[in-house]
Amino acid sequence: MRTQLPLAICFTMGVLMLGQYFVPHAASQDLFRRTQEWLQAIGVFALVLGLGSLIHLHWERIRRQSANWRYSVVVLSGLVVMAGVGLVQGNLQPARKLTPTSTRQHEDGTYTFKDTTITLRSPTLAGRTLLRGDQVHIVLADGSTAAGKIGAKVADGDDGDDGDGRLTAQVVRWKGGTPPDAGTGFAVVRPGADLFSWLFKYVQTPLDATMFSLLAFFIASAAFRAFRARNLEATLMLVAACAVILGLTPPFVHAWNTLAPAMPGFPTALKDWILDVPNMASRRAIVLGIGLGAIAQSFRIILGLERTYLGGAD
Amino acid sequence: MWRFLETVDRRWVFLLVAAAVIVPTLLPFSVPMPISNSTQSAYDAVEALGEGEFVILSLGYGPSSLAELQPQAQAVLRHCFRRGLRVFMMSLWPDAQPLGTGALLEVVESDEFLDPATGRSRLQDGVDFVDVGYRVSPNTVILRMATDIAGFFETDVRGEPLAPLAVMQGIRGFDQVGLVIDLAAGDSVDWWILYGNGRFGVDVAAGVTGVIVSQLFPYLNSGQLRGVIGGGVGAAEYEALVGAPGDGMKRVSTLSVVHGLVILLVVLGNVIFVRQRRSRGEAS
Repeated sequence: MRTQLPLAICFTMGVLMLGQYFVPHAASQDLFRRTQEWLQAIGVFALVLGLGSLIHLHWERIRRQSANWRYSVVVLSGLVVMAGVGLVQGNLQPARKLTPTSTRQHEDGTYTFKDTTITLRSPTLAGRTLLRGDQVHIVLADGSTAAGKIGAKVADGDDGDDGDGRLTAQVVRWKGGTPPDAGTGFAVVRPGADLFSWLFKYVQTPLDATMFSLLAFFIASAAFRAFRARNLEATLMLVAACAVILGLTPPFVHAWNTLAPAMPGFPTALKDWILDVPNMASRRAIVLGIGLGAIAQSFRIILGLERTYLGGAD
Repeated sequence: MWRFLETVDRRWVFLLVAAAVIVPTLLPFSVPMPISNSTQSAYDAVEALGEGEFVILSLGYGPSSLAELQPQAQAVLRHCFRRGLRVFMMSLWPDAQPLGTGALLEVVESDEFLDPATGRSRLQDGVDFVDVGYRVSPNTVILRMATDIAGFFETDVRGEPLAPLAVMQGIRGFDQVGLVIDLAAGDSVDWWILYGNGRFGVDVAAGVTGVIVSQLFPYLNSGQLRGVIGGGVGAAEYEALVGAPGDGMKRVSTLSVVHGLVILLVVLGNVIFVRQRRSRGEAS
């Protein structure tokens, strides 16, 4: 049963989806739409599995203090911090546009806004009410922030309790940042909510970019030490690679056009030809091969001939 | 000298690369940009659209490919807004959304689109463009939005319902879409070709990182892709075509010097290789 049931589901869905592609009837389209919804729901389980696997692997490394276990601490810390900040603080969506009717600056540096309504949206605010005196941090369109204070009791935007996560508030007073003009768009976040953006911009982005940039160093080193014309095939590849690189080097093309005006744009044309003809022909062969292989494999899975996805026991 | 080159520590190569990156970044130079056929095709695909047509800008990249794809995003957005096209921005990678929003804001709030009378951008969120943010599973997203874009996304990143927005008027599915431009560091172009173009017939152009570009030529040749902007050089080419030099063109000097260095290292490495082979032949 443990084998037969998944095989039956796989066969039924495989045949259904294969036939569905050729049937433009509304019922067929509805089946397709529903299946896509299921797919997205099932996809979430992959996240759970991946997360569980990651935590288990690194937790075990830390527990056993195996080689380089300190890196695992960094991994788990990064996971907890980013996910934590994102979940707790970062899910307030940008607010609707503000339309203040009048603005007045006070001596203490605060601003008074009359009849200024903002809308906060957040799943975490669903069913809750902001009260007079509650603090909100507001990110203005110019990137500056302002600390705002709710001036009156606010309730859910619709009927006060429908739990859609939308709250309408009257902000009457805040300090810091540039006061927005009428019609200026701005976002409202809870105190510290912009920490997630800060982490993304100043931690994840440079780290990610740095990792990718390191490739340039290794490519250059490999070009010097390993890219050798050992035989005809390697020589052809080397010449083609150099021609493409040079064709992508504007100063070289410019120099060529100046020194050989009889053949203007030759490096670019050669590069385009290499990509358009030999490269395309080889890529097309590979893609066709992959496509045919995928069709064959799909049929094997649908017909139950390929069962390794069940765990490989059968 | 030769002995030093034959046994050179690779850290010297790293040092050379660092210098080749840092010096032209600090002292950039400009040269005329030759335009690749593939970039020209992408530009022509946008140019062929009429005012008010609907363009989907799909983002499938993250910070690792920021240097190549962010200038592409800005150049494409600028081109679309100049042509009076409606832009629908969506993200197929979770970390693409903040990058896309950044590119969008930079273009929308640039001097070019500033209304001198009000001091604000002429381009309005919900009217000229809309950003719907990230949705999970690229192939599913493409398939589900194909016949009902507003119905699938429901709201934009501000939380505004999508259907009533001016930018969405007259738009139901891919039948009303003029062009999809996918900026990708991964396989999202494949999904757009397979499902967007293959199944629903929407025109697709792509902007990709340098390592992907050669894989897309079969689709360009077959007409499944209307154009391909390739890597940092492609970004610079597109900026040149649009006539709006930006980060892409700024980085061309750095790219050029590094390209030159790589060629030099390949040549030098092979000269050493030939010398070693000859000396081994003489010895035997």
